[in-house]
Amino acid sequence: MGDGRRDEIERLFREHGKGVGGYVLARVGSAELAEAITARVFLTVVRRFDQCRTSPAGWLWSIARTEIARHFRDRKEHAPLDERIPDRSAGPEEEAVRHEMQGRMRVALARLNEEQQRLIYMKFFQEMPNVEIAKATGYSVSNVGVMVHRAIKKLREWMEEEQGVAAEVRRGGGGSGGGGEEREL
Amino acid sequence: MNEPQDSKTWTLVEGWPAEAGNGDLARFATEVRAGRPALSEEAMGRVLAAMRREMDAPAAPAGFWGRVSGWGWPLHRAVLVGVLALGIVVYATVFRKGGGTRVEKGGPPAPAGEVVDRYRVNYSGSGGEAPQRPLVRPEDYSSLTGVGHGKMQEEK
Repeated sequence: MGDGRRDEIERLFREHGKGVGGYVLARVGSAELAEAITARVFLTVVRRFDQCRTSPAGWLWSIARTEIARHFRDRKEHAPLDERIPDRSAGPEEEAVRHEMQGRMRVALARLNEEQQRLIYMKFFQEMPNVEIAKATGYSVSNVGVMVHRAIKKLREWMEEEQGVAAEVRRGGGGSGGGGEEREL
Repeated sequence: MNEPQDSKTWTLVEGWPAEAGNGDLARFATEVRAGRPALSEEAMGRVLAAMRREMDAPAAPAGFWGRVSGWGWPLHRAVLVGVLALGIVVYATVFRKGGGTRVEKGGPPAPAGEVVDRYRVNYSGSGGEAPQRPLVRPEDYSSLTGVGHGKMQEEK
């Protein structure tokens, strides 16, 4: 592989790798799985780099989405996983709160439609300004602002609903042990 | 690694329509952003290492379709020309000859699109001569033709 091409791929990884990894982790909830899926995404990047024509962020999104969908298709044969990398910088209470919020985020993200998922991925995980999101999606810049606003409202709605379900489960004795998360996948 | 390139232009509320509850929504968005999960540096390092191994790996030998695509446009053009030629031949042989209808040799050519059937009829024992008596006698059907029987007799 030529040096120029190699540099471009590594730059793509530096700019977008963490965002892809974070989003995959937010969707699958397991650090080990998220690492494997992220690796598959970037192996695909290496093999098909010629197909990246317009927006690298948009192209990466399509690969990540495909790999996540494949994971959920294959996952039906396996037991649900709910393991997470512990955040050693946070205290136990803070970590518990974050863990709970990430669980709700996972359920809520899965309930968003594909377009909303893409916008949340670009805005929160890739931290792209609206003008870049507009380039990647083909929407106008002003439209992106409105759509992101709508997607965040929907995300909040689903996360609050999930919080209510979790509270109800706890009040009922917690027999199902996180049954709310089971609905997601 | 994932810091915004221009933190001045990246804001959560960029382009939001003016609504009453935007303050609460912005607080929610900030919380979500702060609490979003991320893979560890070690995990990302392993992903990068796997990616580099893939880049360093020698290219796999191309399969049949890889070789075909390597031949480029000339092959595609040849296939296209071949298919077109075959189509023209099929059109000429099947459609231009009346869809396969057989026309008896020696007969007049049938107009395009018309199906012609011919039957050869032999009268037994007649030797091919026409019968002497008329096949139909008009006087038997005068009520249908409106021609008077007497008049016909006079003409005869």
